[in-house]
Amino acid sequence: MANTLWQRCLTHIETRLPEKDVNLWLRPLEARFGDDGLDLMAPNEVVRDQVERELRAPIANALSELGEAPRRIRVLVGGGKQVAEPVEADAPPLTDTARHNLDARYTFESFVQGKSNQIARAAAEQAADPENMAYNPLLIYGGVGLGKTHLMQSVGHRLLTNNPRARIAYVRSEHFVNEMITAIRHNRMERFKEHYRTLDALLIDDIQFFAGKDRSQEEFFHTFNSLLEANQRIIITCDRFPKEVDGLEDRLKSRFSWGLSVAVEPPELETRVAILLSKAEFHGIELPQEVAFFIGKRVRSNVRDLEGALHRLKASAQITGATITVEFAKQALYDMLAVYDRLVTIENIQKTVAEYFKIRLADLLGKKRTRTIARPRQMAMALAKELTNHSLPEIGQGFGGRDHTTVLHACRKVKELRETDTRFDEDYVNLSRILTS
Amino acid sequence: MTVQLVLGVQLPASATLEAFVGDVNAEARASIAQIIAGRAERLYLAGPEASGKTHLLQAACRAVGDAGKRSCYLPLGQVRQRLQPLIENLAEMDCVCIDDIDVIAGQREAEIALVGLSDALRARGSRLVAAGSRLPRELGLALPDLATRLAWGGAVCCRALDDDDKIALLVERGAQRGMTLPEPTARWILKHADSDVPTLMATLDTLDRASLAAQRRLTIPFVKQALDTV
Repeated sequence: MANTLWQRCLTHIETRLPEKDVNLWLRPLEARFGDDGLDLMAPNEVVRDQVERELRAPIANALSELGEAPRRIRVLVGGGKQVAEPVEADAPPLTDTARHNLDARYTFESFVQGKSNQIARAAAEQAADPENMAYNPLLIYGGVGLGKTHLMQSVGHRLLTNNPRARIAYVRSEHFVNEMITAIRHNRMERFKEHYRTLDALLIDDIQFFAGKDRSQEEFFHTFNSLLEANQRIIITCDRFPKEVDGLEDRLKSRFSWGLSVAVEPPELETRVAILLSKAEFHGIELPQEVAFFIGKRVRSNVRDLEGALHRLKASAQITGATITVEFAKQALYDMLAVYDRLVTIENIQKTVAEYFKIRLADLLGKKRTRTIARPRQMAMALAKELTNHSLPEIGQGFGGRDHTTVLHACRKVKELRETDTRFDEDYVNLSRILTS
Repeated sequence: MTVQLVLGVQLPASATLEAFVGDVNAEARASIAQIIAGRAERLYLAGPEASGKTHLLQAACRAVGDAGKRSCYLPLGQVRQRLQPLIENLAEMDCVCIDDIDVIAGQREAEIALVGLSDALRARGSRLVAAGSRLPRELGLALPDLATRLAWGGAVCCRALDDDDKIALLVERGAQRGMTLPEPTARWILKHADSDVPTLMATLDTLDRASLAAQRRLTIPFVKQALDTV
């Protein structure tokens, strides 16, 4: 009966409100009619707030016109027998940021260390030492899926282990922005400020998403200053060095570099294999080392993709009952590896390298042998050797019909330069990251 | 049982794993079964239209909901407005199934919200299943952060059934009902009826009843007559 009345109410409202509003906000509600009125159960706070704010009156009017006006209407969050406290429309609570929001899986113990991340790990270990405030703030930057969040949260866990009562907040930057918007809307900025400015440690992830959000940057700037002045811990992550983020205020960029900035690089082959073997052990997968090497050689870009490959392999093996071998992995990961092959082509490498060094593609493929052209050309050849499955003659052919010995020489030269010239090595790593991310 | 349906999208009664047909997507089906059983936390399905992705997502949503968990099926193709707050507030679900990821490709703010949702679900150990026309890296997403998160639990490619698959399916499903459906008859059905899989299965039901009632074999003339009278 209650459901019938609610259905009649919805049908009635449909004639007065846009269909999308009814579908978006009212249909997810569960109606409970009782002696003392109507309880509308919303699936989440957003729906509840919207109904409270804009749709309570149309509901009341519709029921009244149907001759079933309830004594009162409450909009609550919950489903089934779960009943939340009634909410006052003018004072929705802030999200519970008192919780630290840490993922239990992200600890130092589960972090696989290699050359590419050992400095960042060491810095994070230092930052987890409450007595050592030398590295404050700690900025960890690098491409996606390389373990920045893992390291940051590991610090949080370690701080909590040392002091279970520590007030620690892990928050993604866009969440910080959304919380601030909610606080402004409901005139609760003081509480928002107080919460963030009285933490023992603030871990804020992916600050590149602050770009272009001026008011949020302003607030974060003051929060940042307050915490630093109080000698509280701040750890930040970014997908690149903050100075390279467009739309981020200069004063914030400057502040971020006050402490220690450490990069996390894409893992090299040995680390990729170690990560695969470690994850396989964790998930109870029997992964032969040659299969780990096969995947590690083909999936170069980031740890998430390695995990994705491993999960796919595990599922395929469970479904087919097959033993995991290199041949099996080739079959099971065929689609995923094909995407890598499609994205990293000789042509794409040439185009990317030419853009990176701001030279013309025609020059890269041409006969000029000046150093400004020859070095990028050699780098492009070496990248093609590393990132594609093409043979040396095929690569030579792709570079204006050059001999395979020229490619071989280029690969050797690049290897030598990477060991002796830091800037050259940085360029190579950057290009590799751009091409595989 | 609480199947939370954002937007009031009604899951069809047929949205079950048992009703999913076609051996060509057996791996996708088995992977969804792992999600439902809680043995896998996330999965991405890639494939063209009519390859069964929506059916599998809805089946996951329904089954997890039937097990008393809070699940949600979110077809992005149907919610272009006010998407961001919706996405952000699904973080408390036990299982979120997001269809038509393609729709938000290139919409930076929506992608950022999905990244946040992905991390929030992971922190709670909740399940996330998503589907799109291509593998995440090929969707044209603005944020590689999102592409890597979508593929984190592994991606399975689904394909639409071709005519030979559908004929084989008709013959096999007919045999399961005790019907002998000759291949030429199956080919005729495919040519003359709507060829989407649910319609073909419904046609098979009709023919099952008609052949039982008339005690006739499933010849092309009989099938033509039986379908003409429907």
